[in-house]
Amino acid sequence: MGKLERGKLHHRSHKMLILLIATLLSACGTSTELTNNTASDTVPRTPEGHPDFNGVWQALTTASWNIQDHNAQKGVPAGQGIVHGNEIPYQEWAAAQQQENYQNRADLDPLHKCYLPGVPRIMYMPYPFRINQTSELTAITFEYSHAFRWIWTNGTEHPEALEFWMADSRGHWEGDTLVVSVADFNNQTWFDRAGNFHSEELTLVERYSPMGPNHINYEVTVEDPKVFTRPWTMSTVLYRRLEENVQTLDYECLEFEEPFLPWDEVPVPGMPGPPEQQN
Amino acid sequence: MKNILFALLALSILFIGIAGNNPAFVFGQDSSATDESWEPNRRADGQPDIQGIYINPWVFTIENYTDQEREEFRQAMIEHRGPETGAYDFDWLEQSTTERRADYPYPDNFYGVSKPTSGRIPWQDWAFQKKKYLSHHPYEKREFFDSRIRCLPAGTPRGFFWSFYNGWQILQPPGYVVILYEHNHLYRVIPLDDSPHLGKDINLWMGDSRGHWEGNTLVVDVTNLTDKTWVIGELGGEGIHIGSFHSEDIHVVERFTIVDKDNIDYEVTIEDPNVFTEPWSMKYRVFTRAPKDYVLFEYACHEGNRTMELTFGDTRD
Repeated sequence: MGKLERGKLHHRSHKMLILLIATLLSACGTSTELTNNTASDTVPRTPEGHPDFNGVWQALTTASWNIQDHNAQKGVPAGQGIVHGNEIPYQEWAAAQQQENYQNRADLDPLHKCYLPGVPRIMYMPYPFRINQTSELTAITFEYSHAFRWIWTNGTEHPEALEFWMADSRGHWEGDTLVVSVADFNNQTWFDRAGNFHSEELTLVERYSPMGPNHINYEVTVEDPKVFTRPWTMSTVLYRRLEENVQTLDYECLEFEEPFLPWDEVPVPGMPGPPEQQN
Repeated sequence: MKNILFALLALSILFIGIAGNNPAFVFGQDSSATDESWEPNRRADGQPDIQGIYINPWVFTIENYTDQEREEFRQAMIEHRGPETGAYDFDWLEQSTTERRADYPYPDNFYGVSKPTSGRIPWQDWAFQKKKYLSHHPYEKREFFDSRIRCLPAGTPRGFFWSFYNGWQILQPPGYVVILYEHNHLYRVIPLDDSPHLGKDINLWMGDSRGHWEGNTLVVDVTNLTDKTWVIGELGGEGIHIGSFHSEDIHVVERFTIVDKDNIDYEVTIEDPNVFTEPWSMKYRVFTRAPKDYVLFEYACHEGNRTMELTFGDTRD
């Protein structure tokens, strides 16, 4: 009982603290604004005045294994989830489906077959990507399986009734935030290795907000009336890779599936190879 | 090996499917005469502005093969695929290189191997024998299959050898040229700075590119390629150039020259002391601006690719 009382007390003082902070913040409105301005002043900008996201970026999260809170498993680091409230509002059948996916994830994870990871999963996989930004089009080129995304920012709409592995992305600016509507999904990709899934009715709204020159707050709202009872949101941070001369390299998932004939091997016994091998 | 038929059928369906999405090409009149007064717009960083979507409607044999070689290859293909595959048009094999070139509205010496003047790739003897064996026995072993057929990257310069059904998109964020390939969503990021190439132990399927502009010509130096791609290929990744392998020491220098507002010419010099006797070059019109309503679509290659499975009758995934 005493413990509970103490808990209540804590809870109450916590509330008080929040109130106090809120009061202070509203009293010091100007100083908060000043802080914001300072942050946004350090953001590199395009000639049009939008934040300039050109560069190599990478998420530092375990969300690609599981977007929710999870303990470590062999080869999988423990991680705090990126789902707001840590709850995914599955419809009943879908919750059961996710459980089944999870049990069979070693076989069923689409990445196991080297399929394109889809969006948003590719944004928080442990591989870097490059944002190539121009005024009418931003292309994100990924190290993983040489995937890329087109994000059109020229006022065009999603094409209708098409399904893509990497979906279709159309963006616009709301202040310093790049807001991207993502639609035209297929039902083949997952959110993570834990079997969290969606249908072809999935739509996303991604929000890329600069937190400074080298960090983007990446927030994505997920909606799929076939699978979830309501929209839900997750967010993580994209970090600019600052190493000198850093560039994306290759992770070709398929490369490890099939043998290739090395350049200096000859296909027929007796057929001469390169000169140094003939000596 | 009968399964090859099914593989080819599957591929042909793929091609027809893609062709159906794209507007017919209108072959232009002779536009090889450059309008000297035309100057490209400049981007904010000073680059000539070539941003946009391009196609390459030209299919041709790169090398000056003899009639006998073409006939030998044709017989080999018929032996492996059967006379009526339905998947590939052999007409180009029946045309001589000169006849083929007559269809192409550019000077005779414009495309194909431009150096040496023999019009032939200067293979070392052993390498020519190997390449010939591969091109005549393309389905003998899994190891002989092309990266492109397996939906792995095609390499450089081969990634540009894909005609009729696919486009490219050029983006120019400040200090970079980025080329997106519609086929198999390949891409190249070309920094226009003097940063050094990657260390020699890192290999990239499309190579490590560094570029700079010389007037209206983009010059790109490419190193760090793998030894798993081919130098060149034909439509559909097939044809007499099958097996044009190279080593990791290959060094590629590309020159993209803006001809006019719609066309970009390409001259590429290839050096690989392990495989060729001397550096050689080829030259052709690589990009023609796409029709206005042309858009690039996602080309998810591997996700529906059953070539290996159908050819070898297995079910690995």
